[in-house]
Amino acid sequence: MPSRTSNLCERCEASKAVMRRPKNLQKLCKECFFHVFETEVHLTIEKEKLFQPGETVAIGASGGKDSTVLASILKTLNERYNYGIHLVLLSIDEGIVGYRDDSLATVKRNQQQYEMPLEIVSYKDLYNWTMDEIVSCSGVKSSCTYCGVLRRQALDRGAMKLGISHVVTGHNADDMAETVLMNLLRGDTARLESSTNITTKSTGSPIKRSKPFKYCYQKEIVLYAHYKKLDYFSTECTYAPEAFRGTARVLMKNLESVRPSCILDIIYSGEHFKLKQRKKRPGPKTPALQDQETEIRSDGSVSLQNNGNRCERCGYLSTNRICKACLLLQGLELSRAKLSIAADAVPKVEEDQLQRRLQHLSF
Amino acid sequence: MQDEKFKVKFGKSTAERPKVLLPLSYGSSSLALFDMVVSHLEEQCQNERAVQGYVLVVLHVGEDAARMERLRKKYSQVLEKLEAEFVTVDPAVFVRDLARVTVTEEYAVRRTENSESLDLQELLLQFESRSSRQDFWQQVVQEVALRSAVAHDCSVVIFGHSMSRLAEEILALTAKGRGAETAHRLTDGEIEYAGRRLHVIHPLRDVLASEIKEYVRLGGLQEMVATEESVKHKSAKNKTVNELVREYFETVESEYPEVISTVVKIGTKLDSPQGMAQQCILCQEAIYRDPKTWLEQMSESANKEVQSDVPLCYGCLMNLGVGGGAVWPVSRPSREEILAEYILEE
Repeated sequence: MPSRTSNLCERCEASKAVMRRPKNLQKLCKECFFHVFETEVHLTIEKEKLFQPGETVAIGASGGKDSTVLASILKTLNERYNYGIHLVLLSIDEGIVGYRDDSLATVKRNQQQYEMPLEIVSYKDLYNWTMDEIVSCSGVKSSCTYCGVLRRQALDRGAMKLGISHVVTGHNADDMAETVLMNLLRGDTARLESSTNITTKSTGSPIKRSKPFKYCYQKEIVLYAHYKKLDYFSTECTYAPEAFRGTARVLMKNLESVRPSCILDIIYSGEHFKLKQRKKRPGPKTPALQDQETEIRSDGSVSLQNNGNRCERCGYLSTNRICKACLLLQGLELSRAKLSIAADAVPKVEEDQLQRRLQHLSF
Repeated sequence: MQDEKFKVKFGKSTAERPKVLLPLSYGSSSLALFDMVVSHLEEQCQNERAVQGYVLVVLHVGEDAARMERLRKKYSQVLEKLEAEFVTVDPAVFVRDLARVTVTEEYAVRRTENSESLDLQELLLQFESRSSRQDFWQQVVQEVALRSAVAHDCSVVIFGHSMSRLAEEILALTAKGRGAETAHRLTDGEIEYAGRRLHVIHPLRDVLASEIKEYVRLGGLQEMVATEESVKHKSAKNKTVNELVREYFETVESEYPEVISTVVKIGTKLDSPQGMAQQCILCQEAIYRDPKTWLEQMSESANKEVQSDVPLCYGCLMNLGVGGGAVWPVSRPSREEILAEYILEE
């Protein structure tokens, strides 16, 4: 029979433990868990010197658990430790019916709960395409490629519009570890060294992005949201991630069950990955000639030597003459249907709403 | 050129022949490599005046000396003409200079003297999780193999790791927080051990485990393969990190066949991190970043001002666990000690 003491919180030894911390299996009561979780996020912010007093920080808010907890916790910590920062919610509307419209409703509620200004930037306004249109044009398989490139730029543009130079996102330790594994599995040398950085900045861009939840377990974020009764949206994107990423996720879950520390272990490993210096081939090139050379990539884009170039079309930062987003959109434009077919008379919005009404029917 | 080193020699010049150590686990890969190396040497000796280009030392770390005899018998016809040594080393030689290393609740590392006399089995049983036990056992085999290389004056060590095994190791090291060791442990090249330079090669790095299995079947080597304990029936919780990763590759291999080679390829592009490194007291691997300082960024309990007595790497710290500890050898023998203390069964 378990002794009475075994049910006590291992930290305060006063209240009843209600949970085992996923990170180290320590038994904690609700209050201690809140305290430890908040303190640990504060430690990350403090040690990494993420914020400057007086700074305005945009929280990339999707309405999901990570960004909702991020907004809640940053508000708490900002008041508790006097960071002196102003917080703003920044949302991207990708235009995915049945997913983003509902989650944006959550963000709007959060705006009131946390009393923060909210700015919504939509793909439709920026690029004249919604994700639904893109998927119907290019198929589900490449949806994440488009969405990723466009969102990155949309966040930057949204921040720029508000005159903000710092965006925080809710990426957690599980996301980081998964990225490290994916980089290895895909042999992505370009991202291997820097994927675990807490703060990233595109070359020449005035906007930096950081991830205060870099070391927070996803399970703990969910528990925090659950115990704090936070209002968040928990449906997965209609265009679920690619199948291969799914296999890596399963592996990580299994690893976590034999070694709970494994998520942090992978991040620790990831921070130590260093690529060998590439040997420079001695060539007969003279320096004068090198200056005049331009590399033409396989996709027809032209690489430019100096950083801080602007895309010829949209004016966004780019290492090429035309930025990646414009390049993708150009490809899409070619395959966009010139005319819509009459049989497609039922608009997608109504079709999806109908589908959902049917799902919720009960007899 | 490295390849020149192993070429057949002619005439009486036997001075420059390197000694090559082949650690044999009796798994499919190392047996296949043994088979290939023996036929290579046989080919080298076909000419009347030819002398084999290198001397082979076959080593098994374990207690199964009988299997070695069976192997020698199977190849006796060929081996008669060759110069080769066969050695079985008891892994118990690993046990020396024991001390207790503990991790306090504040993540500080303490070293205390140890009065217990434990044998290798007891040392390994200190670790509750199969995964940590396997991690340390792997270290024992590796250490004993390298010490034997020094003891036998070998300058080259060839491991039988297949491409699948290397991919497994790369991912498993990453998951064990030992990603920084990838370059040093799995890339071909020179390493230093007990003041001696050893050239490590993985000749089967381009061959899949499934291909080796076929090679073993066609070559009639199956009878020599030591059967491994199957982990299929075990629940995921009872598997080791390595077993889980191996299983993962087996399942994705059919649908995404390029994954294994991709992982191995990116593994060869990795370098050891820069900077001054301390040496871990347990696994003797380099520490590039103090694990406690790193953990202070995200752990309340690590964030206290206490100093460690001895350096402990992140992987070992996680194996011991906070508040945990173990008795373990805390130093490597010097070259003289290796030569003096190794009783080698010939």
